[in-house]
Amino acid sequence: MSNPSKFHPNLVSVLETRMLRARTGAPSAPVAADSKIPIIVKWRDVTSAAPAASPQTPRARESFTLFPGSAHDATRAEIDALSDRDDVELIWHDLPVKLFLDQSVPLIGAPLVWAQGFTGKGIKVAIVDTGIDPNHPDLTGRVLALKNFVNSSGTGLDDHGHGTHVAGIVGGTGAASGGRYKGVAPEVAFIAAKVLDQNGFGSDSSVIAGMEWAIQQGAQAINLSLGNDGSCDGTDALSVACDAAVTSGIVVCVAAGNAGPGASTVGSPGCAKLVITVGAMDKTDAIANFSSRGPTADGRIKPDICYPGVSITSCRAAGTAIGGVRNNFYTVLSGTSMATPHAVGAAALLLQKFPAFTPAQIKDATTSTAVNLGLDPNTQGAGRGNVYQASLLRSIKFVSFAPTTVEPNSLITVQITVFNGNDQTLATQGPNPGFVYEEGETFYTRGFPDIPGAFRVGVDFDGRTGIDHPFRWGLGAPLLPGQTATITGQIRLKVPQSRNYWTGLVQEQVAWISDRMGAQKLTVQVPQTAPPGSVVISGVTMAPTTLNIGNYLVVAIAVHNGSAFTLTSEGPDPGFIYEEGDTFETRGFVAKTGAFRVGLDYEGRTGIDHPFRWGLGTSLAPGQSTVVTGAIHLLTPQSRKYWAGLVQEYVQWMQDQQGAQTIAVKPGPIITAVTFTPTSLAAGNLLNVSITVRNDGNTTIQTQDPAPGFSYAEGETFLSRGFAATNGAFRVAIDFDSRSGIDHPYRWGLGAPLAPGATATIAGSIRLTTSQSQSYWAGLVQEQIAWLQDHQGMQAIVVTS
Amino acid sequence: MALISSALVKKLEHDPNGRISVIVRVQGNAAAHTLQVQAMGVTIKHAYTLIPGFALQGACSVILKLSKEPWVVSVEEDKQVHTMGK
Repeated sequence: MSNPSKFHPNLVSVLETRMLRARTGAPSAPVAADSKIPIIVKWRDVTSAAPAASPQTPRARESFTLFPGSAHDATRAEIDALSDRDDVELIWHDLPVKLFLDQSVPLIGAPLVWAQGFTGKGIKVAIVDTGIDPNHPDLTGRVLALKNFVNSSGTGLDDHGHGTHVAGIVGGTGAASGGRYKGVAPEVAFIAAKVLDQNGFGSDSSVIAGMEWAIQQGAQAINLSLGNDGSCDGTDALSVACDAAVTSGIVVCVAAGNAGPGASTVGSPGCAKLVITVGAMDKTDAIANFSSRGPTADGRIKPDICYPGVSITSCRAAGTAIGGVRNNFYTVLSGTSMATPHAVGAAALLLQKFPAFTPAQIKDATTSTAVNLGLDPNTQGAGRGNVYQASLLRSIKFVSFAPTTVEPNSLITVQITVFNGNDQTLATQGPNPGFVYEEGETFYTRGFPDIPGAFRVGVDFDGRTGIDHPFRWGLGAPLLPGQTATITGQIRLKVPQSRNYWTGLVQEQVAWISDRMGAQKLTVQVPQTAPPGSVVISGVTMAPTTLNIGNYLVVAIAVHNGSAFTLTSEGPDPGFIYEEGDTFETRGFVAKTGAFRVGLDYEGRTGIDHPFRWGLGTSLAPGQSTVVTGAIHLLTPQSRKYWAGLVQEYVQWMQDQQGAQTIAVKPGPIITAVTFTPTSLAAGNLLNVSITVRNDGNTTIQTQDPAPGFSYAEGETFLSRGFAATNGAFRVAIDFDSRSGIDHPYRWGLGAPLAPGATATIAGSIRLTTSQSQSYWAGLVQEQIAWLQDHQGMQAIVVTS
Repeated sequence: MALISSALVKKLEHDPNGRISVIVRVQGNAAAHTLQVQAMGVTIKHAYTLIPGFALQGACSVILKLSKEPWVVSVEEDKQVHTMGK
């Protein structure tokens, strides 16, 4: 087993290259399964650093105390076994101090593009620099044109060394090193414009002239490992000229500059809007201290992307001795000058594979698939370029998070559009788009496995501990070549916070294709607390204050917003009717933190306070007033005080005990007993009911037909049997679960007017003919005046055929 | 009215007889204005098509006068650039 999430990206690249070389059997680099890769392991606690070697753990070459780590030479199998250990946190590739071209080129994935058959052949690249040495073994035969713009009578030969070094990174063959120091696109053709003198200096005007000439010679990509320092907003002539070149269809890559690490140190033409501005990384995947940072003077993020630029070995021009000379043919230089030709070489590979690509498409393909290094965009741009992933054309095209400011316990919706420009269908996994996560969950805790090779998107956030991309969604269905899919997911955020969320596209256990896409700050906040006394109940009315049982108490509560901000609200809306005994919770409403609502409470109440709650209806702007109305269906005789209160949910009680009023509910008739016999019967038999009513009121109550004893057939109603409701008459009824049509279809009167204190027992029957299993119950109604009681004596009845 | 920084204007005013190298962007195309530029007594180092304009060298007072021509879009000093590696 293996846990590749513990592999640092620099190890992943090396493993991919070696996997590829082993599979393709490239003659230059046969790789046996037991070949050793130098690694550094970061252990979880000090005591397990440099553990004793076991059959699975290779012996440590060195161990460190600065952090709990050790260096080993390990086979792929040993690396996989290490990654499975709980006490292993991270595994890096142990890069030698000098990042030779033979490591920077695989680090960016170039060999995996060569394996697809693309080496930059047929692509013309302009090196606008100190000139070129066309006789260097690694460049010979491929320099199409040279011209000197410093001294019109001079040649384009490199009398400094910088231009030749840059050219070697773009596309040297490595011939003078047995292929070891091969450039990114080793079959490109070169056009060299010498615009910098033997000391490495030149002028804007020469650079523009050199670029113009190179374009006339057919250059498809231009390398500008030059510039000036000082703040830049992209409107100077050289920057504008670079943008004009891009608009005309030429890829232009420009060094960000070496004036870092301060902010806004990208000069001209690195600050040009349309070019690919390149920062430099060092051997630990950190951005080189010297690499210039953004933003530009007009606030744009730069650099766009980063490539290796520290201690790079490349071609040495004859007769020059700059940098760390290694031998006649190679020397070592550092700078964003060295990073930039990696970008140009990558562009050349992509231009060969996708001849119709525009410079904007090249820029998008590389930036959307760069390996995010977790740094500020004005330091790393999109991250370290990976031309292999760029060449596979699977990318996130669009991301949105909405809303971006919410109250706790709110849903955020994320939309991610994925494009498959590859010729292979992308397999996927669950959960499907539409899945809703609760904050704190992960796709693992929700029971979804990651399927190796499946493509999925994920959402991550600043300060996340635990598994990366905890919120994951599949693509819904395998994504066909050339197709785009938009994945929608939701996360319920609960905790107050303000941090960046972003998304990424991953092929599970194979590759991180992109990360840190669409970063958006999401804020979860409890709404402002209204100052005490600022939001008040300005009036309460309750009516009627004396009512018969079964009638409604109607309340109107006026609220004034004297605070400086808009009040949010919750349900239910004004106008909602409660049954006595309900609470807002039993009716399915939820208190929303920070929302304003009124509530009705009463003497002797047990259970939840303010059981009857209503929101304000809409949000209430500062200075505005509103009247919240509601009703409660009172069902029991009583005489007690009711009052109103105003609350900002889970924040503060604004007011209570407002408008206290004694409400008297006069007793009336009530159902005291209900029986059904039998409760289990054969179809075709009678269900007998008996309902006892006692008149607790102080007036005789009138009634209607049919008289007690009446028998219904299943499916009939009192209306279909020819009876009618008499306004104000009291009657009982039987209702049941599956009833459609009129309520209380089986009705009986009381037999005779019922005097105060008297009791009547009403018997009736229903012949049930269909097999069923459901509940029946009784109710008492004053026709067209009031429902006194319902759902009394509920009983499950089974009818078998 | 051409885009020109106040710092450059001051420099040109301060030393009218001094010589300066500038990049000048023009309306339309450089070819249409070549004769006018030459007639003013400045040296054309480059005439560009990538961006319509010139790299010019001339007396500060003449460059200042040129910057007021209606067909001049911008005037800036021809700044030094350098390699970004060592």
